[in-house]
Amino acid sequence: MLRIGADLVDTDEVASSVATLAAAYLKRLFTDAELSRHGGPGTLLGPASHPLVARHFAAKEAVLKVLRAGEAGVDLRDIEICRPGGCQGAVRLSGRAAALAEAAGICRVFVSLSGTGGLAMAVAAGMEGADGQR
Amino acid sequence: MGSDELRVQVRAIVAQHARLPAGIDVVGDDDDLYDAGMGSHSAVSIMIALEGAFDVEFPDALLNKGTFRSISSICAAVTGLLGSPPG
Repeated sequence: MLRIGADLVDTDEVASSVATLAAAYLKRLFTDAELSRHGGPGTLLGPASHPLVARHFAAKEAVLKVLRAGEAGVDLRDIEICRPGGCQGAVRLSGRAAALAEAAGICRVFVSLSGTGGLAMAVAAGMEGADGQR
Repeated sequence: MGSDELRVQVRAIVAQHARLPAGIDVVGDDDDLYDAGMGSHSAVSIMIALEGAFDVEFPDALLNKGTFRSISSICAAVTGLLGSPPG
């Protein structure tokens, strides 16, 4: 079985939050590894990075839908987007996100990211089954 | 901090980050902010702004839609966090 989740984010809305909330915003959404992978908060605060930040937010929200988190509280830092290159990659789960995946029998989660104009989107897919690595 | 003062601060933060199409003035304290047009990104931005304004951190258990559904539910959450022992 495959579980699908999708999310669409207004890049201007993300840019507004980055401008207003600054590093606190990035540090609450990104894992340390994600921040490091993308040059740190200083780089991500720049306008050129806003589409990337928006795509990552959309990806994490899409994963929440795969996990059917509902009213279960999940820290977005428990969902790490591992994207060595291109526009797709695997997802590393920890904390409550990992617990939800385990309870649902989801062994792997992938995301595909995209964006155009003022919109960023992501689709996440979770594979149910015992094979594979989370 | 009194409950009225807290409510005023919370309403100001929601007004800044919720991006409600009709604005905050038409939203009652118990009205559903999602029904009024607030999206998931706005809810997260409100949470981060609240953490900065009140020097609190929302635990996982409060990171859900219900916590941010209304001005009243947000005030209740912040009040609880302000009353929580440190650590």
